[in-house]
Amino acid sequence: MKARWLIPFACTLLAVVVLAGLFTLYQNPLFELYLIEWGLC
Amino acid sequence: MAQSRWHGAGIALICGSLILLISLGVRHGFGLFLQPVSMAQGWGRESFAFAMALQNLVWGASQPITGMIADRYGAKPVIAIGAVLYAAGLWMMSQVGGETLFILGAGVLIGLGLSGTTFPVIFAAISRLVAPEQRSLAMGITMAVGSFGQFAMLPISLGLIIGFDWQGALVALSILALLMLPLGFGIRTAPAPVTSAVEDVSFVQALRDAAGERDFWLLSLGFFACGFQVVFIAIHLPAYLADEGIGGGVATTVLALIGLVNIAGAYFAGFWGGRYRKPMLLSWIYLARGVVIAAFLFLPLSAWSAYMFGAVMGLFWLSTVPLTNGTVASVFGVKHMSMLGGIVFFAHQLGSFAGGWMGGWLYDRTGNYDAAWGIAIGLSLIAALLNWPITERTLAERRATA
Repeated sequence: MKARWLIPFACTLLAVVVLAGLFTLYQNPLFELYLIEWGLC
Repeated sequence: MAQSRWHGAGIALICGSLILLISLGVRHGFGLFLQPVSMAQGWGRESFAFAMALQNLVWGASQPITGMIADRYGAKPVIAIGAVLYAAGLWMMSQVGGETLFILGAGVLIGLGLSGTTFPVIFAAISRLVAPEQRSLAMGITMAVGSFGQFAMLPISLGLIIGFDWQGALVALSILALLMLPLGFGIRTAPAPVTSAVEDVSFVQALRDAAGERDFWLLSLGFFACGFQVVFIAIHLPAYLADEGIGGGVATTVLALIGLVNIAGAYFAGFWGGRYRKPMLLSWIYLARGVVIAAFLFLPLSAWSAYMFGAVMGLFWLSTVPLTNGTVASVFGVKHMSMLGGIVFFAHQLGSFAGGWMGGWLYDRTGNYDAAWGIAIGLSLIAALLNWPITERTLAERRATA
């Protein structure tokens, strides 16, 4: 039986992992150093 | 029929989305270069700030003209030239030269590059390839990928600065920007599907038609509010939180939350825009922004209230973009969509300039951000009222009932 849900599930899981990984990168303290005084140009 | 048109537009949708990812993503990280560039060049902060302000103005002011060229000659050459200018601007930013060189690269070249590689050009090219009822969703998908670019490129830019120093990072970003050139060739050129003789006019007549429509101006004025709020919050929120004694990385987490949730917000705005009246959705979004900002200011401030603000605000962040451009397409058709979308976007950029600049100006005079927040809430209410009466009737329908 073909597991039709597998590809969407795998893609969703991958997206969540990538987004969560990127989100944790924002915890780099250097961000605060750069952004507090200027923000995003 | 609709399915086959999606299939034909699939590659264009992917390429257009990736162009927006790169174009918006690279630009989003410029704030990180302020300190290293200013220190290395021996400048104060004004030079960098001026270059960025000029970039936003050049982007906005050139967008209607770039859009007009794209409407006339197709998106491919405009994206190609835009990509080369963008890459050249980044390369010039990486050179330790004079202020003039830096301002020319970061301000003028990248401003022009952005106008060739962002919403009005990409959205119009894709809108011409899909059925009218699928345009909003297509723009929502493209905007969501562009929003992901903003979210992803900020930590990547920081990583590049740490790994290769600021000059190496800018050269790497310049190479990345050049990738938009081949991606542009993936966007198939389609003749504008003219639905009525009213839309099949010269660009001068299209300008006259738009200028004579009340709804075109209401949409533009509403988009001014969007630009003001987004740039004011992106630039001044970290300083506001620091003033209120909330530090420890809260500000960056809030900005990250805005970026993360914005991806979903942009997609769902496009999705719902295909089912409901887009100006009505815009009204609700602007109203919701006002309520969220007011709640953030009047409820007790804490790290968690700031996180909530970021998460909810992200939902209403760039969700206005596919809906605003979609309304332009609904009313005026797609033949002159890049140019007309460019004019509406110019209003957005004027708002962006005002939000960035007035936030600081008011802070310097009053010692706090209260007045600027008040303006942001007031603009929400005004934008909600302005968008509500806009209808999506086509020009032909408007003429018939006039």
